[in-house]
Amino acid sequence: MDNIFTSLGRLRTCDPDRTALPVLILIMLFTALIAIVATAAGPENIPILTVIHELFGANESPHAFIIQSLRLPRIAMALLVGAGLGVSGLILQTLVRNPLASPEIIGITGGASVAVVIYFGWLAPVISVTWMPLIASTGSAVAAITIFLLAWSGTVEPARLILIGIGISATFGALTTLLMVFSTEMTNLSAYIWLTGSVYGADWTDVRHILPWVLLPLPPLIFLGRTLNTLLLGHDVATSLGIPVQIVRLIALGACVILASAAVAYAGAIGFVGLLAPHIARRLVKNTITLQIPATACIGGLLVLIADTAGRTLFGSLDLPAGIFVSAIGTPFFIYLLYRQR
Amino acid sequence: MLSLESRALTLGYDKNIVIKELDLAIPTGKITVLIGSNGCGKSTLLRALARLLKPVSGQIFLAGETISQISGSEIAKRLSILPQGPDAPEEMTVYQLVRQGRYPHQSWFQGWSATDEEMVERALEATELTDLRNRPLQKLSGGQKQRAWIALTLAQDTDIILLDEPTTYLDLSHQIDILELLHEQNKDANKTIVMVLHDLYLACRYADHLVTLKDGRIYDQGKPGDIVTEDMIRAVFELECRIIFDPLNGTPICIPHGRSTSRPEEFHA
Repeated sequence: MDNIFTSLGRLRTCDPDRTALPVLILIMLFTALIAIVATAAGPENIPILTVIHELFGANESPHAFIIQSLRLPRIAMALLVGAGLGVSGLILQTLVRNPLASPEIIGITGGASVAVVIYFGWLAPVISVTWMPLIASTGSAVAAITIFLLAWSGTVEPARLILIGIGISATFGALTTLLMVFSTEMTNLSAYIWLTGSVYGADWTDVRHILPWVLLPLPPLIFLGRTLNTLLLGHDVATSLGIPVQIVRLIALGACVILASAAVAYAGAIGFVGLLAPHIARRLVKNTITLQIPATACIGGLLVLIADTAGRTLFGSLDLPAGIFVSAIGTPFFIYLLYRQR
Repeated sequence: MLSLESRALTLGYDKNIVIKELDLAIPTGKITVLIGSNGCGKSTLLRALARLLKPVSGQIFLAGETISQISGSEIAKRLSILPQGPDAPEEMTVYQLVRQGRYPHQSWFQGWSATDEEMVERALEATELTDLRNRPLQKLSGGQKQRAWIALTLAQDTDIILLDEPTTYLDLSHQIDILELLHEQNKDANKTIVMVLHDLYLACRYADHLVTLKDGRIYDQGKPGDIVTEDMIRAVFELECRIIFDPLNGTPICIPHGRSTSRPEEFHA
């Protein structure tokens, strides 16, 4: 018994750091491959070679418009949104040392949902839809700040933060439903699509706007990777090892809020990516958060991209929101996780 | 050799004062054990000595410097603490855990060095975990797990090691195992060790210097043989007892009276 365990252990985790980098590179290559396939797939299937040709800026095939203006920005948006949600989830799960944490739980999605329902119901005639991302992220920020203030008791205690976050999220959920009851049916339809989450109709302007919010928090997080790894040993041990725990927690939480609210602002309340992506990434890239961050970004991006591509290709002329497919994979996986946790 | 002492140290949570104006000098290169009844503030004191808890007032000096003036990473090179019931991700292996002990000695630009590796190997060897290095923590027994955490603090390579009830939840043989390990570290590597222990017998047996706390103050301190008396036990633990001496080690043993204790005449009859 003993010997089987030790030898299996040696085979599997002899030196986890050594396999992590090659696996990460494979994940990145796979993401690029899927992005190319997704560009080719659609109501009008385009040969892969043409796609690659166009990617290098040929701009000469008859498909140029579809590729450059319709599909590529949408794919870029799917990747960025998934990356934002995924990394936000990874960091949150690390901070609270609980694999069930996700951006939904700290109220980011709930706050944005309320703001968006208010917008569709009452503000849409007055304010242009181009302001939607700003409105949604204002909702996220208000929610996040409310939760921080309520959870603050001289320090940020992650467990307390999560409990208050769950409570606030439930309140926002109820508020969203209440507001929808009071608004018109047309409003509800638009709000509903947003609440499911979709990257439909994303253009290069949107991509340019979301890009810094997703990319800028990543370098500091990667820089903090080693520290976040050690933070997994708990507040006391981390302090004993010389980590300024409160400062690190605040920086990391701030990055989580920025990443998730940017994603939610542009793609709506896509659920489960923040929960799912970090789990898959941790399975593939073991024990080094520094490498898990880019891996989670790729896998989160892949999840949204695959869901969106399935949504727009599998049902003929119907273009289903990506959120539906993410939830379809997410729910059974979530139950599996709970089951494994016992 | 680094000294650790407190001056007029008052500790508490919110308005609830636990330790009052306490002056304590930890003898360097010795094993100091803090004892006292539940809630007397011994764990609170230990946490404050390791800067895990900010004092209400008073100061703690590490090698003569106020601890609040020293950066966290500098303290981490000189003093480590193993809190009570530490917790790590289940799938983390012994080696991965012990490696984290090198955190304060590394920087982002200066990667894993030969010294780091050597210190980890030595810590694994001292705790007899070399063969279990790749085993996940969840597959270890309680005693092995505690040894892995001690290996982490040994890898940190500090002159002073503080431990909060390192033997809790372990059976007797593993308690002895842990305390022997700490004793060896004290004798061979000249580490100053400060720990909170519940078991009075083990405290007397392993302490060079025993500190008894009562109601947030030091009741008495000194060699166990000098200070452990029936009067002291009555005052600190509110317990009637008899003190006898361990035939193997000569250290005091406290035999509590209780309602069920046989009276001497019954015992002889």
